[in-house]
Amino acid sequence: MNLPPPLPQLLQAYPRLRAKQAHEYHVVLQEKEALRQVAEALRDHHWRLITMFVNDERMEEDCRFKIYYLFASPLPAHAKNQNQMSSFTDQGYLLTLEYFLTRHARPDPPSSFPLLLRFHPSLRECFPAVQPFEEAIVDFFALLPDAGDPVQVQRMLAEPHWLHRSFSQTTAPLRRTRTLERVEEERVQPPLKHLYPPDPPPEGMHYLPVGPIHAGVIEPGRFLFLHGGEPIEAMPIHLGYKHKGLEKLFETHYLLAEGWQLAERVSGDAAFSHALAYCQAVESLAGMEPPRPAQLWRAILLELERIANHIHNISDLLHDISLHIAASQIALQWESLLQMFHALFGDRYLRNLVRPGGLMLPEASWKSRRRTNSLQTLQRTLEEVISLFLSLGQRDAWDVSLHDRAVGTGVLNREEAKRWGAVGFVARASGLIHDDVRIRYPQGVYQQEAIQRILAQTFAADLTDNNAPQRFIALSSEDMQGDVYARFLLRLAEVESSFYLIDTFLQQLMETSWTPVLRDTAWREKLDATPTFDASLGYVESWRGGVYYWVMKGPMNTIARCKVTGPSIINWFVFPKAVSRHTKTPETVNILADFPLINKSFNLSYAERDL
Amino acid sequence: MKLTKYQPSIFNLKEWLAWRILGKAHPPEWKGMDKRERPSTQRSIFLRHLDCGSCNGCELALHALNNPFYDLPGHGIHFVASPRHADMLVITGPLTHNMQEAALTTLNQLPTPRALLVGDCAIDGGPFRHAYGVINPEERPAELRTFSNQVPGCPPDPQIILEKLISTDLSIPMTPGAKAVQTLNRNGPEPG
Repeated sequence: MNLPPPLPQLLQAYPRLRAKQAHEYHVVLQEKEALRQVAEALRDHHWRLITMFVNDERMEEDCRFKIYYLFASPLPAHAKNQNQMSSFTDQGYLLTLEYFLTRHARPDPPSSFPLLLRFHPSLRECFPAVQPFEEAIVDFFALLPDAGDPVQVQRMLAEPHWLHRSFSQTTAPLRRTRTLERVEEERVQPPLKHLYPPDPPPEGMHYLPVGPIHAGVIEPGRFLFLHGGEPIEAMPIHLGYKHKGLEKLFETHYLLAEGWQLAERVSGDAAFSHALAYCQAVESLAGMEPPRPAQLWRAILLELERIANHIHNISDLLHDISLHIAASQIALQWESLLQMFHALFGDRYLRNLVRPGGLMLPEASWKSRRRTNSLQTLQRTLEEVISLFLSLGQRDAWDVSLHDRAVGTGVLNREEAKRWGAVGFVARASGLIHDDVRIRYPQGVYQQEAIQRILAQTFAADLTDNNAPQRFIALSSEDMQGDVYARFLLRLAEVESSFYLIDTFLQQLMETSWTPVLRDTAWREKLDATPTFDASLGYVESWRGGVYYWVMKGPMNTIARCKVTGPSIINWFVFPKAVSRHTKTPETVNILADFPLINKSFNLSYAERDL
Repeated sequence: MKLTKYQPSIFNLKEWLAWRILGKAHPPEWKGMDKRERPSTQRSIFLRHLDCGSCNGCELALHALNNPFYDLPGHGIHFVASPRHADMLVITGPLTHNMQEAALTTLNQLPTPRALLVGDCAIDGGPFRHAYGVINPEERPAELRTFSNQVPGCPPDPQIILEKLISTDLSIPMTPGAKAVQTLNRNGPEPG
């Protein structure tokens, strides 16, 4: 096996733990210096940071806070030639670094600091994308990145990230020693002051505060536009208004077998993806294997969710460009998809289907007699909806007013996307076309070559293969310039790919025999047999991007820790970079009126970020 | 399955009428009723949406109301941009601690404070009830505590929200503390 550097060297130099999947690796680091060396080596070889989180293991074997870093191997360099197909079959690797936080990471904390606060080495110089995760750790664990400058540290404590100073600085709700009652005692009345900009604006400039409640049916968040005239110079964002404390709720109120119920409510529009990622983490933990029909159904439902959300958001985007007729027609297609979901799967948003170890379809529509009928409904609806949607999209892609608004707006170029760690369709539209969990770490039925070929055909214009079927949306990777238009085109093409994926999966499903209840029969025994404080990773590509769940089993089948990393966390951090004036190309600006369009084209979830 | 090129006309009137008339968007008792006698043509409601920390599932239901199938504007009901233009708030989500201040400010900006609670978590906290960032339903500020108008469901079906909105009688005050809030209203700060 050909491991990408510096993975072989790391595995030799440091102790490693057994990872659950073939393409996952787990390395343990105890020294601060070692962490720095490893981070530099990973940066030099273009590895990407996926997430970083802390787990309080002071009462367990190792008696320490542990910091976990999740890295992904570099994306293959793609070129527009015949080898493109091979770049799609080149699989990626996930590397977990487990770092022991020593008791005295910094010898001289300023005396004014509460004793509870501790420092950990910061990777911000190597990986700028670590910033939102470090901020989360400040709020949830009261562990500070060692930035050196005490003023900067004070400032970091004062900024409203998640807790909004509505709790005292030392609340640290995710530490194991904090009970829910204790956390609620630490609540203080939130001051309104944090809503306003901290510094006066520069000469000739002006702050335009917007939010937290916006005009329309949108979630809350506060934007401060710094502008002198029309162009937006900078845009600091304050989020966290929707912070409910879901990671703590997983630990206090849910069992391992039930956590999917809360996972479905992390972000309502990606309910199925979140529940699936949670269930995959639990399955990988307990060594469960869902039966093959369940895997096929999961893949079909995942793609259905992707199609429904892309169609809905394209409709909203066209509405913002004032293409109202097309927007309304597409909105009707979205509605008929959701009604079909309701009729066949019992829920408009595909909730309540996936379980650890498998899947449970509603008996009413999938019993043996009704099955043919239901399948026909599914196929016919999909054919109609997607034919109409793609025809409209194909026509509107050449619309003059769409070009005028969307081309060159909200540019996030390839270098920026790479540097700030963008994920999901945002990264793909910026030219990182392989940034897709389905391509990099395919699981189960996604591993088939036919499926990978369909995914590669999303960029149909790149392929020189004459046998490739004609696509409605012939996308070239050169179109992926990172603007609103690129994101619009990419989502059209992804709907088409998902359609062909569902077609293939359905054909494979017809060849097997299955019942509406598809579950690993020994799932409960396997869950009970899992050692306590064992942890595992689950990941799927939701329509927005990769969703990663890290689940640790506690005593009596409880959840000791469930870390949720959705694509919105990192993309909210990247988003201001696409809106503000670009530092390298100062002539690239976005005006205030473009902001709603850029916002719609990123389409981030506030709930998924605020947790 | 096969994709076919669809040739949409600019406006497919027949299809649209089929949706509007044969669709389930209208309550059955409206069948054959003169359009002018329908309750929705008697008055119009302006709504302001307020998200207090939902999972955005209820927002999807509210989005769906605006599509041509449910056709909310066709019933004379609109979402407006300012609470000062609104007859009623549509509140989704369990009230999070961080949203409390903004939610109260918004409610106080309404000419007459009314609200429709959409979704289980707006009514009693739902699945988020015990989370530390969420204010217990019993501890909510008086203005946000009780509203007679509720649509349960997680998330509720758009059809049910629509029926609730159509049957809303604006002449009945919806909160027991309505008067007290009205007096507060005069000195309320600017909305954020």
